[in-house]
Amino acid sequence: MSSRYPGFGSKNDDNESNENFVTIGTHFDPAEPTNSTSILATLGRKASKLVDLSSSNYGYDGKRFHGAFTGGFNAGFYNTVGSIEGWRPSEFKSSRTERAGKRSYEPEDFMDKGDFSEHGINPKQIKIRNIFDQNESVTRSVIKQLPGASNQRTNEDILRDMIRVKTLSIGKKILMSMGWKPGEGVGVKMSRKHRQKLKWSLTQETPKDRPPSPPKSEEEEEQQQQQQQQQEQIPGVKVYGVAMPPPSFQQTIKKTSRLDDDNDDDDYDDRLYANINLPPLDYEVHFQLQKREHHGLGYKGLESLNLFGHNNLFVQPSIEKQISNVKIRGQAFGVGIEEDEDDKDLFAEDDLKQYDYELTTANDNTTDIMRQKTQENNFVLKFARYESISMSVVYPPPIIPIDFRIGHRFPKSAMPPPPPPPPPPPASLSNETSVNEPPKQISIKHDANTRGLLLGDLSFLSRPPPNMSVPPPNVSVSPSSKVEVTPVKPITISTPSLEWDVEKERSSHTTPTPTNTARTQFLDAIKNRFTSSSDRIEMTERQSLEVALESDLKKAVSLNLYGDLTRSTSDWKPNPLLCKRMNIPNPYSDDAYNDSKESKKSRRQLCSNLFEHLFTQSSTDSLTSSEQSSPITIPPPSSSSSLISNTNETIIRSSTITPVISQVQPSSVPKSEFAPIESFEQENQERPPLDFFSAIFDNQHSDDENADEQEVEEKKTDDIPKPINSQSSIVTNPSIIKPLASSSSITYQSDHSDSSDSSIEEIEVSEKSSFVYGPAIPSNLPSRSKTDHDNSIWAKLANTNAQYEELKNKKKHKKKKKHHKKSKKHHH
Amino acid sequence: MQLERKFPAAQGAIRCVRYNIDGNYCLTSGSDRTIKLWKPDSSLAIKTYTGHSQEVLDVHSSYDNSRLCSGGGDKRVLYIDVMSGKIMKKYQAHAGRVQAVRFNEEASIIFSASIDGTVKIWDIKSREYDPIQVLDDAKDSVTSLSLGNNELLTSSLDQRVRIYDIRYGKLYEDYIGHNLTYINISHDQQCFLVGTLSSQIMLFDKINGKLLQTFVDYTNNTYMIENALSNDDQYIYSGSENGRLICWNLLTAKQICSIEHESDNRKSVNTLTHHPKEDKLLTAQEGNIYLWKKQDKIEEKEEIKNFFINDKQINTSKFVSGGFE
Repeated sequence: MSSRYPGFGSKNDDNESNENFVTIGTHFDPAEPTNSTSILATLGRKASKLVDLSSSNYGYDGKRFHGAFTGGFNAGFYNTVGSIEGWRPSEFKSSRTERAGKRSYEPEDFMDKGDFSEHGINPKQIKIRNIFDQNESVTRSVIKQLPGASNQRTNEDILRDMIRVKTLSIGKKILMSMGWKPGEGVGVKMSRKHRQKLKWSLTQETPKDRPPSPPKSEEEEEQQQQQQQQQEQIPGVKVYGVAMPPPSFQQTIKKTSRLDDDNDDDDYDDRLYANINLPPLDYEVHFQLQKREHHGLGYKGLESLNLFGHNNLFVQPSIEKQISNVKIRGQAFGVGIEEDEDDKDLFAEDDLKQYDYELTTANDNTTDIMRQKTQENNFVLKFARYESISMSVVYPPPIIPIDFRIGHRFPKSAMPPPPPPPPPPPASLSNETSVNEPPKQISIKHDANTRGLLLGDLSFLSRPPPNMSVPPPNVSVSPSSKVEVTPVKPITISTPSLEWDVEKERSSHTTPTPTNTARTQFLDAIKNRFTSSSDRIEMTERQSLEVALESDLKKAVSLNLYGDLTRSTSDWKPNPLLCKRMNIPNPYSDDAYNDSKESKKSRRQLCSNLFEHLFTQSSTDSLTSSEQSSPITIPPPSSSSSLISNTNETIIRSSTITPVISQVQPSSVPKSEFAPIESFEQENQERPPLDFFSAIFDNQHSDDENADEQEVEEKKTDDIPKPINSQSSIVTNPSIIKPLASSSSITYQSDHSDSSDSSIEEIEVSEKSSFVYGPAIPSNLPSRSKTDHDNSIWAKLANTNAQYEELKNKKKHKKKKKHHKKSKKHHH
Repeated sequence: MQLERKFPAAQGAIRCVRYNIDGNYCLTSGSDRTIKLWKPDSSLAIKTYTGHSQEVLDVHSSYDNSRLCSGGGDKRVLYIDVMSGKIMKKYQAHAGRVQAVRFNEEASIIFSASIDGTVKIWDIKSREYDPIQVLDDAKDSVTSLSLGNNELLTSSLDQRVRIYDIRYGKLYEDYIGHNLTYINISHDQQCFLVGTLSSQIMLFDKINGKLLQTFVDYTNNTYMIENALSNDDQYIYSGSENGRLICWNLLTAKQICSIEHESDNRKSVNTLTHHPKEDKLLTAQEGNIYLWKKQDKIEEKEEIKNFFINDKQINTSKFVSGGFE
């Protein structure tokens, strides 16, 4: 007696011997319902409660609406994909065998269960099927019983007979209330014999027997029959055309009522029912009309239609039939976001009759209506006889009032004072210049600011008043007041110029400012590296002083006397920005820093400007050479440049050139006014010829052309009476230098020469002096050689790195300068 | 001084080594054009910064450790973002190699000293790439600069120390009489220490320019040897061209110790930096970084000092052996 499950308690063994076996694990709690499904077991009581709640509260379609903000309809089982049994995957069903099989989907396949419920879009409810429709059932039964199958009635038939639907058309109802039964003909009851006769006549009719059909053939059955009967009595009507074919009538006979079924035992019946009146035959009479008029085939006169003015009562509208065939009802698919009607009843049933199902009916209706209308109005189509068109009307031209004038003239008061009458055309051409002069001047005075003033725009008032005079004050200086020119310039530069000032300056002469600043920058930068030799005494003094100082210092150091002896104190102006960044108050006023700021600019910028500087020189060279007689045409660069640059240049040729300048100056003055602008424009446009670059960068090339160039140059120099070289810078400056020189003593000039050692030309000059580093150049060099040097130096300048090597490479440069000359020549 | 750690930097010869503001990290710049960020206590290389096209001569980190500035033989001053290593700004206006760079306290300005004889001041905050001020008073190369609270100190090869006092708008020029290679301002802002090419370090009073002390007995004739002051301004440290690290007592000018970096390497010790808080010192010899820690104050005893002075040879050798465990 061993259990099937040794070691575990089993059903069988429970009763018999528990003590024989060891039980492992704990028993289930007997109180717990044993039949609970898994999910309920896990969810416990709470779940079941929830289930109840949900099921009871579930509204339409098993969905509960939470409200718009809490999630709309819930779905699934507590908004999970599972069901009450948990989530069960659908069984796998291989579609291999029925792969080719085509499944046809119906709308129901895609609908929810709720859609079929009472309020769904396709409610499933008991309704009449088509076969139970009154008409249908009748006709069907008729058809079925026709071929002698009347005796055998199937269950279906019985059922069909039993169930009758009450929906009948009004006409039928009325008829039935009057005793009419479906299948009977309508009309006065007739004797059987008569009926038989009629029937026979219908089946086998000869044209003679057939009564002529009235023109209005298609009418209600009763009426037709009445008419027919009437017409049968009218024999003498002409009939045109061919005789009617008999088979057409057989069709109509088919539709006769079942009362006529029993043709076989006619005789017997005759005897039996001799006294009984039978309802007339129920058949549709199709009259073959005979033509009695001369109209074309198929023609129907208008008035022949719609004699009685109303439609057939017995014809059910086809629309209804179709609607009854449609299974789905209601408004499907809810409300979309963009639809306005939110409050619409979602579950309302839609009336399908609102829709059109036949395209033709509408048209028919309209035609019918038209016919009706024509009838009502007694409208008769009528043709009007054509009459010849009357002559086209010719209207007389309007009468022009006598005082009418071509062109409109305004009353004088409304007009602004009229301009002076224009002179006659031929005269205006000739006088144009003279006449226009005064107005032009007026227009000139109306610059932007004055115009703005006129127009009421006061925005510019904050700016300095408009300057009417176009040329800058510097240029407009008269010859006599030349001396004043130079002092003015530094002032303008030193003071922080207003923006509009700068703008104006730029517009008047664009290039000079940058180039000159660049130049000054450069000169400034190299100023400290060299000392000039022009003033020996000064130099020696200074040097001796320094040497003495140095020696003193050394002595002090040697004695270890550091302190006051070795310390030297000087003012140093920190950049205001530096103070700001260091959080230290600026010991000086912020303006104090300005001057040093200008002098110290980035070397990078300087380098980029170096070439520009060169170019302006070359262009000015060309200018000078062209206007040799009046060398002062070139002031522009110098005029705009700062004092330093001027002095630098002056020094170079101070010894040789000054006399020439003095001579030239008077003549130059008048021209100087216009010169600057023109020359600078030229500078802008002009670009030095290729030779110029080659002269700078290419050494080999230069040798070939040396000879002829020199020839040309010499020629040139011959032509020019001036002994001095045609170098622009030299010629240029005199105009400015002069005032300086004249105003100040000779020593002053010499001073300048000392201080202005910045330019490279100086280097060569300084070679002479013993103190200075580098070779010196004889002060009284022949003019030509000097120019050559200058040129070479400029070429050098282009290459900033080569600055300091210049002294060593002098020889090389001599070749270059010739090239430079050549380039100058090209300019001319 | 006791050698605590030694590790190779792997960036060629080390041109400078600098502690950051709190001493947790250090920066080294090398002749292989890189700057490296280290955690010297664990000899951990954190990041390598590139951007210079020649050797990097000086580097400095900002107060918040977020930016670096560096200058090198390519005449450029770079302003580098520490985290990303991107070069935020590149200043290129010096005509010669940049010897020293320094942030101001707020890292809004970079001072750069160059052998072109100028000190240029760059405003980091602006987008301008031109210096806001150029100090071109020096007649010869500016070799180093040091930044006090209100002043900028420069040492130049024209044998002068220049003190640009921003507060008073004065420039003090002190003639030293020797070619100056390195300048260091003391922590109390009262003195400055200059290294000269005459093998002596001189301590000057900043106020009046008087010589306070001279420290000798080391070699510095050709290279730029950096020096450092301890945090309490009691000791002066310097490298030496014979491969030693030398320490003096500031008050007595006695040499406390002189330690060889390597027994077999007499190459110059050019650069060193003192820990901003602790008694630690970072030096570099050739490609190696050395971390030194100050021993107990035994050396300060008078006898010992005398002893050192008397028998320098023995002492040095002794320290060398002690230094290398």
